[in-house]
Amino acid sequence: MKLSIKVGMADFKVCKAPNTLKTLGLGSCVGVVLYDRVKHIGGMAHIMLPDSSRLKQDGNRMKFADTAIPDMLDEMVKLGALRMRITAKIAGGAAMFSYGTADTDIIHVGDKNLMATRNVLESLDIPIVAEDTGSNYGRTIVFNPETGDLFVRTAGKTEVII
Amino acid sequence: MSKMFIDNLNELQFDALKELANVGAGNATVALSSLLNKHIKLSVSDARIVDISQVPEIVGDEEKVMTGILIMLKGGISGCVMFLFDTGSVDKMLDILFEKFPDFRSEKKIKKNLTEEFNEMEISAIMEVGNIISGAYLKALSDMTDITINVSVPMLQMDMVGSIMSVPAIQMGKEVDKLLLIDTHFSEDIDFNGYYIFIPDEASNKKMLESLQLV
Repeated sequence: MKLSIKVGMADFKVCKAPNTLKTLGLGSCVGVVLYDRVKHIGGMAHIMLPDSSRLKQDGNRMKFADTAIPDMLDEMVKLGALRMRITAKIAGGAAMFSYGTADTDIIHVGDKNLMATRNVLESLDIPIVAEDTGSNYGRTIVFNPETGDLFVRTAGKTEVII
Repeated sequence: MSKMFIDNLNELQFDALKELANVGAGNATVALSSLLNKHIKLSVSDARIVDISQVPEIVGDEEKVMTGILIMLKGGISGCVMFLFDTGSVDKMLDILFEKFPDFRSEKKIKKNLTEEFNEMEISAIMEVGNIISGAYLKALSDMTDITINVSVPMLQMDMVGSIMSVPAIQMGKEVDKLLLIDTHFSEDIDFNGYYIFIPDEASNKKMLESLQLV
């Protein structure tokens, strides 16, 4: 039975084909997909903030790029993925509410999330093979570990596959 | 997570917040009717405290396209307020606003970013309506609690509601995950619904209730 697994905000999930992963309503958040194309194992994280340094002990590690991505990688390895083979696709990190905004915090959080995501992936030697990032609108993404396709949907635009 | 103030409101405290919502709606009714030179009534059909993450499913689903007008609060009370309504309602509002100036309405073209469907004047008008409604609620809050509130200029996004909500979730998410959700109905010369969202930070919550002598 093929399951469509939903990833919430500040969350990640891993799975094997034929199951698929999706996360809805990425705004300034970044959706990070990791993929082992031989074992058809995928992971999807919905990251809200760049860095966990001020995280309290019982805080949520899945919220931050620097903790969620390595944790997700570990989970994929437990499922049988091989670190060396893993590639990444990323989406999101938009500048939301850019219309009329004077609040630079809000405009730049997307960029900061993207930068943190790229740094973490680089430190883990994981190449980013595709992305649909930035701009000023939200995205929904669906990942299929069978094919490695990442579907990106936005309001008012046609769906793209990266 | 349930150690938060807003999670443990007693009935009196919650009633006070609801009463605030009603007074705010009353203020907004006066302000909007005056702006639009119409009879507009704003009423509160429901007020509840919900998790930030529940908002998309309450208004429909994460991918439902809505218009969000966001205003950041600083000073006596910190946090944010957002007015959320579906894009059909935006059209209705613009119809009334531009009733006497139909030439200013843009022709609809589907563009990359939904905001581009409307022209600058229409966007300004929508933001101003959001500003007025929020101002009305905040005035009620300020009057009742005797706390000064500083507001930012309004910010607008037309998008999937999940994406819209990600912004206050990130901004406020470090400390709070609950908000006050007020279902608002606009009636008489117009007919649509909207949601008014109020997310004070933890310290402001306490402050408000203290000043209402309900702690």
